[in-house]
Amino acid sequence: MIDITMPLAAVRVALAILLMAGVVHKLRDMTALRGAIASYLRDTPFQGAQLIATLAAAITAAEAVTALAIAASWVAPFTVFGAVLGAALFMFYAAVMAYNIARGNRIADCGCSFGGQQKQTVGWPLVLRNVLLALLAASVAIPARPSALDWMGVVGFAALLLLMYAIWNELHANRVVTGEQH
Amino acid sequence: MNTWLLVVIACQWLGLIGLGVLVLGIARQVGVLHQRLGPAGALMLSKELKVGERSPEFPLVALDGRQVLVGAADPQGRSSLIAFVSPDCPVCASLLPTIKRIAVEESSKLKVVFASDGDPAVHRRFASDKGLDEFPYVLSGDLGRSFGIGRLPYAVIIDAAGVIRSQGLVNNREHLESLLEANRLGVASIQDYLAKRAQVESGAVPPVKIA
Repeated sequence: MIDITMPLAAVRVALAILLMAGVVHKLRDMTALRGAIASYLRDTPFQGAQLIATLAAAITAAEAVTALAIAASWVAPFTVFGAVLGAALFMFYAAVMAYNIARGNRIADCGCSFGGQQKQTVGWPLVLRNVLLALLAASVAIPARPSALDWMGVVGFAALLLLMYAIWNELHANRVVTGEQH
Repeated sequence: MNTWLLVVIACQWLGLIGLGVLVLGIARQVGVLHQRLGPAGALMLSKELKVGERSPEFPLVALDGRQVLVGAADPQGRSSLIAFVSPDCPVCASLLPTIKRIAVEESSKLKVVFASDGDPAVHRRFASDKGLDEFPYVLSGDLGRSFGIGRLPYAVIIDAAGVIRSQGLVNNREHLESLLEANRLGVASIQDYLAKRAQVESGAVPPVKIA
């Protein structure tokens, strides 16, 4: 039987780091986060600074809890817990983005750029990215207990996944700058 | 797993991650270049009006208060020369005497309108300094945007029927003459003209007389 422990473990490490980075990025600039949330809620009945501040705190907390759950997913109860939380979180993002695209609300900054200079416009590529992330998060449910010898592969593959994510982000943001994608 | 294999795999991981970092760096650099080139690209991309198309009509009020219908057909059968200028454009200032001379020489066939955008007080001073009081001088950002004006001085010639006959960056009398020439020649030279205009717009060659 093929042992897929290494890639599974790497996905967990990468997702946990990705979510933690998201939490740090959100905490560092709560104003920008509130701005992004407001743009997602434009022209909806959900308005008001109080509500937006609550949502900002809730999303940040949800990401932090998910990151911790995925990081702890080596221990049995958290395996399914982390997978469900992660998949739900990313599918929620995908759904919110799809809803906003469908109703024609153009959002210039998706609020997912880790404080980078380049803003990513919400579009179908970002929805697809969140669905893929949700699938990766769902894979956390598969029990994986890497042996001590796997550490190099786990670290290497996790780093590679994060790098590919960052490169994709960068190239996607470039397409927005050149007006190829709106 | 023996040590030799471990070293080989470690090297491969290091290589892969190193390459990933390099690709990320290149992608980031490409982004920086895109941002630097952004405005120029945007100007090229702007949906400017093309020669042969009907100009939209702009009902505007000139600096001296008179009503000007820029881009409209002229019942007296005269063409319009819209000269896009700016007080802070040295080439514009040096071209103004030429435009005024052409306006006098061709007054039976051509009416001249100066166009710009910005603070009316600054433009009023500029117009009176340069002796442009007899010409309509309009301030309209929409007008400039519609024609996709990126660099000044820029001239657009619209014929009596309200159709754009020629347009381009004008740096001297010859450039301006070439636009008038294109207007006189009409549709016969339009392909040649468009080809030349593409070169002029990309900055490859200065506008030359088109015959």
